[in-house]
This record gives sequence, structure tokens and C-alpha cells, in this order.
Amino acid sequence: MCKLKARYILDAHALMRAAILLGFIALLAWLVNTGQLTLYIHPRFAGLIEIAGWLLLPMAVLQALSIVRAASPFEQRPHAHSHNSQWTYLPFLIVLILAFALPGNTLNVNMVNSKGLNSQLAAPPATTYEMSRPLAPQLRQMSRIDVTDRDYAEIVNELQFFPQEYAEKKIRMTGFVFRPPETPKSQFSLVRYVVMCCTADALPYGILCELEDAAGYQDGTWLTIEGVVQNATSEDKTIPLIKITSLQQVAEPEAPYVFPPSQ
Amino acid sequence: MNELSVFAPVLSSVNWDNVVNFKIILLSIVLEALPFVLISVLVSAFLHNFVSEDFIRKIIPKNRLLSTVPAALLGLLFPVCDCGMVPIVRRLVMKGVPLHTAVSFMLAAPIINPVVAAATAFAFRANIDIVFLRLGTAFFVACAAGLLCSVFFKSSELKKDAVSHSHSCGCCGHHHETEDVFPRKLSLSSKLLRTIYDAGNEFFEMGKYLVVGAMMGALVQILLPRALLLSVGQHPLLSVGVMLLFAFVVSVCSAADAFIAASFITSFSPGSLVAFMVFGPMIDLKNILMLQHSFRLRFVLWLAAVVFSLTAGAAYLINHF
Repeated sequence: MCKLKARYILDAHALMRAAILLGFIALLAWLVNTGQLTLYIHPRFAGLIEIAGWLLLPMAVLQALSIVRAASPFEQRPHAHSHNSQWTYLPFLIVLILAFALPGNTLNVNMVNSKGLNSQLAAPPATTYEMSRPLAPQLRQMSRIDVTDRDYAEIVNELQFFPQEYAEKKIRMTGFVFRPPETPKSQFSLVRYVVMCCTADALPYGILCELEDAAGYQDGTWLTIEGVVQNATSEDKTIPLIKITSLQQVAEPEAPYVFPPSQ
Repeated sequence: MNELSVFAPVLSSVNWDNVVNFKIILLSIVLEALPFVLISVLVSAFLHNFVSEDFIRKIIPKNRLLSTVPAALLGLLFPVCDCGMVPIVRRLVMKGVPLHTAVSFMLAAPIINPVVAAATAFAFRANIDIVFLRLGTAFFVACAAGLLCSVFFKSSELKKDAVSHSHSCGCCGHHHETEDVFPRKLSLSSKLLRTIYDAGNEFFEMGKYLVVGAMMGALVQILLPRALLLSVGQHPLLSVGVMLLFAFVVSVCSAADAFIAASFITSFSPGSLVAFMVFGPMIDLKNILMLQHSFRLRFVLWLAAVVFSLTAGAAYLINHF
């Protein structure tokens, strides 16, 4: 009886799903092991990402096991009524292809315009820091403010909101050059992306700097500068302006974004 | 170049730098949402395999108010993502659960549940009041829509063919697929295996909406200069309208939408972000499609309109608060 002979079915959906799940596991493992995870999300999510990888594994195995299977006698052609076509996998494939094919890069200077520099925004972005100023006493004592990755966002906010208190202070900081429209020739902003959760919420934080040959440095150039904080006025507001005394061109840091510590 | 990107965002955006930026933003949203989506599909598949609908139906009281309000809180025990809602709700209604109870459950459960609350709290750590506004507004909208529904509709509003044809929508296709793969009488271990298998399938059902949503979010971030958004984003009414529209189109899963909303926190009013996170999981493109497969069009449109008005009203109030 030919009916008893086992028919085997190749399930194209299961094949595709298994391949995509394995692709995601490979992506997570690759990002975690090469330390690239922080290009995308705040380091505090690293543990969750590892859990996600372990959750994906059994799912991938089960999908892989059902790629080839014996058809039950009652089964008609598989998925004859399925409304899903293979197109439904396209979004996943796009993500995987983009992730693996494009270089692991950092948000570049192009995004500053669409994000809006902190000093240009109407409302201060960091309502978080609203008037709680944990660093202020410490900063006042320092003879020179050395801006660290950890305190970057705090310090820039301090300078932005209370420029008078820091007038004539020496400062040393690192960032990339960006010029908002209508920046005078002798000025540029020194900027870094501040990431609260993931790069999707990255906000460019910067401080205006003054340098005679500012025009010699292109947007996106990374600099470590030393200078003195001064006060300038812009649209009736007092704003901080760093008069650069010395500077050094540097390579993009390995951790280009700054992650404010969790509260 | 800078002037160009302001006047012709689309033209100037097609360059290598923006492709890289698009990739980074897309991947960051997907990566951040991934753990939450996985937990959500696993829980949903677990409930699908281990908790019977009969049990849930047994605990629903007959009184209209008593059944609507607790139904809105059922998500606390039954944390499902909105993508898995419609098939469950249809089955509940088929089994005799009153329509208004099912509606209030369907609207609230994707938001008022521990997984989504945790994800929202993560995304809005800095503005924790948004989390409570989201949950509160969702509760209000779900209860109000459920009660209105009990006034306007007496029948089940199910489509006739939905009753006889048990797999009318593509998303539940995997339920009978699984029955082909694994035997019907199940031991505990094979039930667990089936749960993981279902979760894998559900991951694809939901994941594609998440990825497409993240793509649209990334595109919007790159194409629209914030300065432009700011002008609309702070308007108490316009911002709500824009965000409601955005929520409808992106169809992103409720476990992940908080992260997308959080990326707009500097440019949009709090009310509009709450509207995005309340309306999106309740009514969006993918839900509407699944709903009109199962329920009469008249009812689906009525529901969408009611939820839209209630959410917009609440969001407007939040902005004025």
C-alpha cells in the first residue's frame, strides 16, 4: 500500500525560521564577544542580551528539527491555506544583512542636525537632572575640570545652565567637531552623543568652543582640548564658551558614546 | 550640506553616512526590544498551552461592571502582547464570554501587564510618571470602551464565517501546524517543547511588526530634523494627533513601543507619548486587519473610533495638566 509509505515534507517556513533564529544568535554572540554591543545599547542591557541569546537557542533547535518531517496521512499539502508568504521574513533578513554587511560604525556627525544639539533645543533635554546638582561642589573645588566619560552629561549640563559659576575655570575635554548653521568662523561645538538606553535615544551634547583657526578642523574630527570657560551671550542668554588654549587631534575613542550611570 | 538637509531631507539623506546611521538606530531598537519580546512570546505560548480558556471564562462575573473592570486587569495574570490578542479574544467570544468583557480585556491586557510595565519603566527610567500615566490612561480607556460596547452592541458581533471556520486568520496558522508536528496527547515535557515551538512561531508573527516599526522609527529620526518635530511635538493637540497616527502605522509590539516612544521624549509632549503607548497596542494596522477577519466591520470601525477619541481626549488632558 503506497499510503503507508512515509512521505517526507520539506518545510520551507521552518527552514527560513531556523536560519533567521540562528542568524540572530550569531549576531548577539558576535556583538557581545567583540564588545560592539555598546555601539547600540547601554551596557546595563548586556545581561538581558545574553539571556535573549539563550532563549533563542531552543527555539532555533525546534524549528530546525521540524524542517524535514514525516507527513501525517491526513495532512494535505503543507501550508496550503497559510496566508503567510516568505515575504514576512524580509524584515528580519534586512536587519541581519545590515548588521553583518555594513561596518560596525558609530553614529556620525550627520545625525546631530536631525537630533538637535543640546544648546539649540528649546526645552533642556535633561529634565532628569532638574536642579539636582550632585557634581557642583566637586567641580567648584577643581582647579581644572577634567571631563570624564562618566560625568560628561552632568558636566555639560552644569556648564550650560550655570555658566557664570564656571567662568575662568580651566577645562579639558574630548569630543568631535560640529558646526550648527550660522556658526562664526572662529567657533565650533565640541560634541559627544549621550545615550540613555539605546542609540535610538542618543542626544548630541556639546559646548561652544572658540579657536582662531577653527576652520581648519572639519566636522566629525575628534579633538582633545584644553581651555578656559568664558561667558558669551546668544539670543539674550548667557552661554558657556571655551576659549581653547591647546588642542590635540585624537582617534575616535573605543567607546564613542557616553552612558550616564544608572540612578 | 547643512542647509540642504533642512530643505530637502529626503534627497540629502540618501548617502552613505545616513545608511550607516539608519543601521545603527534600527539595530539599537531591535536589540533593546529583543529580550522583552522573547519573554513575552514565551509567556504567551506557555499560557496558550497550560491555561485553558474555560478556566478564564469561569472566573468572569455576569454583572456588566464587575466583568468589565476586572477584565481590564486580567493582563496582570495573563501578560500577552497585543499581537497574540485577537485570536484569543475571538475564541473567548466564541465560547460565550460577553463581547464587552472581551473588548476591555483585549484593550487593556497588552498594556496593563508586568512585562510591558517593566519595559516601559526601563525605557522611561528618567521620567517614571509617564509609566503611571500610560497604565492609568490604558485602564480608563479599556473600561470606558468596554462599558460603551455593552450599551451599543448586544450580539457577539462575530463574523459568521469566523465561527465555522476556525482558522480564518494567518496568525493562528501555527496552532494547527504544531498539531501536525507533535502528537495530540501530550506529556508535560512535550507540552514544554510545544510551548517553545509556539513561542518561536509567535516570535516571527510579532517580530516582523517590531522590525518594520523600528525601521519606520529610524527613518523618521533620520529624515525629520528635530527642529521641525519640535514645532509640532510641543503643540498640545497636534502632537497628540501626530503620535496617534504614528502609533497606528508602526504597529509595534507593546513590549517594545516604550523604547520608540522614549526616543521622542525630548521632542514630543508627554501626552502625545502616552497616547502613542496607549493607542498603539490597542488599535493599530495589524490589529485592525486581524480584527476585521474575525468581527463585523461595523463593530471594528466603531471600536477604533471610540478608542481613538478616548485616548486623544485623555492625552489632551495630560498635556494641560
